[in-house]
Formats: sequence, structure tokens, C-alpha cells
Amino acid sequence: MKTSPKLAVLAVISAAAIALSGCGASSAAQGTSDGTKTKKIAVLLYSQSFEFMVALGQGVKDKAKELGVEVTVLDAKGDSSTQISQIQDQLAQGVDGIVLSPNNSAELVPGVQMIHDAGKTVTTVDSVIPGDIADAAVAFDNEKAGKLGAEALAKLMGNKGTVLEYQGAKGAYHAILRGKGFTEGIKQYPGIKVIGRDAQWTADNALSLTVDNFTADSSINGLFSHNDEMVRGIVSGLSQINKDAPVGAANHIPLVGVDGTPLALDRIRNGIQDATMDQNPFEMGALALQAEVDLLDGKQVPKMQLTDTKLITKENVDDPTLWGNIFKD
Amino acid sequence: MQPQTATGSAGPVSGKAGPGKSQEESRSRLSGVGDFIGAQGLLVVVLLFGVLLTFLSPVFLTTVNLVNLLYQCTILGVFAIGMTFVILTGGIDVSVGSTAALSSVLSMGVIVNMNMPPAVGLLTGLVVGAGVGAVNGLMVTKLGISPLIATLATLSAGSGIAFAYSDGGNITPVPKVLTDMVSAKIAGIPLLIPAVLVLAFLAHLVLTRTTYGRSIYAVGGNKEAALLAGIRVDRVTMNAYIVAGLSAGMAGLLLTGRLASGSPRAGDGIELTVIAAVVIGGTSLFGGQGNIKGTLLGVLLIAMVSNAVNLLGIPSSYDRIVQGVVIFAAAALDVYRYKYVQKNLSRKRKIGPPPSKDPNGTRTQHTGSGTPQTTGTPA
Repeated sequence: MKTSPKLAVLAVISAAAIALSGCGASSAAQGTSDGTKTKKIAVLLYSQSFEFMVALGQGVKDKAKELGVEVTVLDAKGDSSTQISQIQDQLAQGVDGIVLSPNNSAELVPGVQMIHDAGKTVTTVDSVIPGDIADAAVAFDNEKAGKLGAEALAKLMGNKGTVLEYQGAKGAYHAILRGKGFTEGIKQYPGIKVIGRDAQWTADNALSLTVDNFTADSSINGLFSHNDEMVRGIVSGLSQINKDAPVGAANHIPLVGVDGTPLALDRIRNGIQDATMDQNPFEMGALALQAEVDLLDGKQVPKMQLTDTKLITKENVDDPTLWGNIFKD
Repeated sequence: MQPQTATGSAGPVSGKAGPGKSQEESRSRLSGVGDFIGAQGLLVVVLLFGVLLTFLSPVFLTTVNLVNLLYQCTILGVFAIGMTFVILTGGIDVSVGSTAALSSVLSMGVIVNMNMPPAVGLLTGLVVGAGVGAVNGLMVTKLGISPLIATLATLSAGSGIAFAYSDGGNITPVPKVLTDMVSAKIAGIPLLIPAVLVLAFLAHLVLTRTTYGRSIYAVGGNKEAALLAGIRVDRVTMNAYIVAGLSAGMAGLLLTGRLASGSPRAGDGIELTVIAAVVIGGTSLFGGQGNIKGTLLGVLLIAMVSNAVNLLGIPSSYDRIVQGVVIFAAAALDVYRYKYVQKNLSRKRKIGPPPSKDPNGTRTQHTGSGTPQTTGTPA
């Protein structure tokens, strides 16, 4: 009497084991069915908590289907050490190559070395590893985005006044380059003063910075945000202090972001935000996977490819090729 | 070692206003200075900090800035009110940030993706919050998992569900009712400020004027004693987690309205700030001691630090140093106060007659360690 439940459990376990091994066998068969070995590429994204990264992952997957390679997309949840262990795990599982979107440029240097020690290649995407040690890199022209943003904003401000710059997290690759481009761009307009504040990429920080900085300095007449996510907080802060006049009104405060997220496009349509910069994650993901596949095929791949950016304003906001419009559907 | 304090001991739970008052009296008599350093001391710290800021920034003491300051307190305040209940029981809830995110994402999911009326969505947010709280409560009471680990589990799972459901994106558009509710103003003052004060007052009443409220202090002060006094410890604890979850759900809705999106990032990482605010407010992490008034002051102090940093243009890295120093000071104050009260208790034990002989019905309870515990002092 006592053994029968145990037997039942055993039976269930062995059934499950058989089922599982069956699964494994079938997928392995798929891999070898077309004669040549399917390339296995690990795609290690630093965080799936941004629409941009989700779209980049989508771009990679779509391209993988087109190229007929097998990709495993993993999320490091914004943690460099998680990403390092993902690299180790994937190497142990015998992937052919890795597409890496580094969580932090400097912290992932050992990760890249690990990949090289294992005799594999790596293509970085979005952020760049210092010292050009990756085999190939695909990045967005962050500096140009900052510069274009500065020029657009200066025009909206009539080339004079004070800009509040909402900076991304200190030391982050994107924040450094966007900030650099913006600073260079705004230098062409000596009538404009810049107040730079670290908003750490989050909307909530941007909200309190907006409210408090307008209180501290009433001369602010232009806003530049290092990404579009923070603009949510800026908009809420502006309405809190009654500075939320729409685009076109005399007392409107010009507001420019970067990224071109779906929400930013909506805000531009609704006259809340003036402009943003498109950076196409689908294109970036596809380019990175292509680069890695080319590396595996022994082709020559440029060390660094920059994807271009363009200014999005009310005039071109409905352009169907903008990633923010594609992502929505 | 279960830390015990005069206020935390299992008082006679009768539901009358009496016990609250007598406990307050006993506390002030036991530790006049300690009490001053407690709730009043924090008020002094807040005022001194305010005076300092008035000198440092010409705009600090303007109506506009003070309104902004209170406005920035509101959502943190809602989180902190709920957290006070849990910490008073001697527990902790680190899942509130992810509960807010879950509430934000699922309420907007119901409204935007399922085309339900806004009211249904808002209700969903609250139910989700209470539900997560109930899960926390069950893990802590029925399974006996330590509160930190139990709520760490829901923190992780809740945030995961929020990201999975929303694909990491924002769910929009937020119905106008909600954004209007959050940004409504009367005579230039955001309605949210008095609303949160009313909420705080209600919580204060529950904690001081109801059997349930007094039971929370009893459970937090000494669980065994509370059990012996016939308090249903599990139910009281469970309800405290539900209150914390509900307030986190509410805060999630407010964040949704304020930042105009159902976002899995709503409330991200706020749990430690919330706990800091409650503890700075004088609620002991050991449980059984603290109040809503202190929590509000704690929230105000944290908001003032952030306001100061913004007004003075202090780089954000220093912001965190300042916050660290403030938390350290408050925690040191807590330990000091605790030791002070203990010292008084032991001195009283040496000098005073056994309280069990007191004719006014004061009881002595023996805990596992055999230490006699006075419950209230003779009037």
C-alpha cells in the first residue's frame, strides 16, 4: 500500500524525462535536417525593460529567421555580473558566436576577453566596449543625436536663454556621447546657457528635477532630455507648475528628447513635445546579427558601424519607417 | 532575543480609547528625553533643516516651492503609510515598488487592452495590490518564511510579471479621469496633498483607536505575549501586509496618473526609500513602536533632501551621500532611543514593586526568557 504512490511518482518522473528527452532529440534533428550545421548565436541584451531594447531583440530575431540561424536572446536585467555569467554559460553550451549589448562598457571588458579566450567572436551592439577589442561593433550615432538635438532646440529657443539638460546615468555610454554631442552643438550658440542635471534615465527623477529647477531658476526656456522615457516625467512636472502650454503657444517651453519611442511620437503629434531623434533598433539588431554571421563565415566586417539618426518633428512624425511607428502595431 | 519596549508590550486589548492613552502616558513618563528625541526630535531636525535651506536657497521658503515639496511627498507618503503597518508588526515589505508596477501595468492593461471602463481598471489596481499583500501575508504567517525573503520573492516575481505583461513598454493612453484626478488643483494646491493627509489621518485613527490597531502594536512588541493575550497574531500580521499591498497598489495608480503611462518601471527601487522614510520617522524595525505622524515627518525629510539637492544643484552622487547620512542619523537615533527606554525599564524593575500586584488591573506577562513585562503603569 505504501509503495504505490511512490511508484506513481516514479512513473510520472520517468514519463516526464522521456518526454523531455524526446523534445531535445526533435530539436536537434531540426538543426541538422538541412545538411549544414545551423549556427547558434547567443544574443545578450543588457535590459529588456526598455521598449528600445525589446525592439532591438525583435530586430535580431527577425533577421535570424531570414538568415536561418538559431538565436538565444537573454536579458541581463541591467546587471553586469549577470551578463558575465550569461557569457560563461553560453560559451559552456558551445555557441558559435555572441552578439552582446553591454550593460556597462568598461565592466564587460573581461566578458569580451572570456569570449576570445574560448576562441569565439563577439559583435557588440548599442554600447561599445572600450579599446576596440570586440570583433565588430554596431552603434547608434549618439553624438550626432545630441548635436542635432542641440541645434533643433536652439532654433526653437530663438538662440538665447537657458537649457535644462536631463542627463542619463553618470558614466553610461549613451549619456556620455549624447551629452558630448549636445554640449558641442549648443556651443555654437553663445546666447544659450546650459544647466546639466543627472536624472539617471528615470521619469520620476525628471519630474522632481523639472519642478525644482524651474523654482530655482525661472530663466529656463528650453529642455533637452537624453532619452524619451524621462520626458514623461518632464511633462508631468511642467503641468504641475503650470508651464505646460502646448507647442505653438507663446509661453510654450521647447522640449526635445532622443530615441523616438512610440510615446514620444504620440507626444509630438499631440503638441506636447517638439522633437526627438530616431534611432532604429530594428535596423541596429539586424545589422549586428549580420555582422556576427559574417564574422563566422570568415568575411571581412568593419570594426565599427554607426547607424544614422534623424530629427523627428511634427512634419515627419507619421513616417511609417520610424521605429516608434512600427513597434506600435 | 525579542526586543521589548514599554509601548510594544501586549496591552489590554479592549477596543476602548483607554489603552492608547495610558500607553502614551507611560511612555512619556518612562522616557521624557527619549520621547523628545523620537517624534519631537525629528520635527526639530526637519525645522532645522528647513532653516538651513532657507539660508542656502532664496527660493526654498516660497509658497511655490513648499507646495512642490509637499506634492513630491504625496506618493512616497502613500507607500510609507502602508509600510508603517507592516514594520509595526516587526515585519518588512520590500515588494512595494514592484507591487506598484504591477498595479500600474495591470490596471492600464484592463483599461487599454481589454477596453474596460476606467473605474474597473482602477479597482483592478487596488485588488492587485491587496492580492500581492495577501500573498506576502500568507507566506509570512502560514509558511513562516521570514518577511524579508517572502517579500523579496514577490518583489522579483511581481516585477517579472509586470515586465512580461507590458513587454517592457509603456501602456497608454491613461484615461483622462486618472490624470485629472492626480493633477487636480484647488486654489493652486494639488488636491493630492490634502487627500494623502486624510489617508494618513485615517491610518492614524485605525492604529490608535481600534482594537486592530492596538493589536498591531501588541504583535510587534511581543508576539508570544500577544498570543497569550488572545490576539490572533496571524490575522493581524496578514492584514498589515494587505494594507501595505493596498497602499502600494494605490501608489501605483497615482504614479500611473502622474507619469501618464502604465509602466513596469513605476515605483522601481522605491522600497528602500519607503522603508527609510518609515524608520527615520521613528518606527522601530523591531516592531511595536512608531506612529503615522513620525512616518509623515520621515517622508517630508526625505523629500526635503531631494528638494535641496535639486534647488542647490548638488550632483546626484552627493545626493545619495546626504540621504545616507540622514538615514544613518535617524537609525542611530532609533538605537539610542531603544537603549534609553530599555535602561529605564530595567531600572524600574529594580526599584519598583512587582507590577502584577497593582490593583488597577495591570498584568505581568512572562515571556520565554522569563523577563517580567509591565503593561502600562499604574495611573
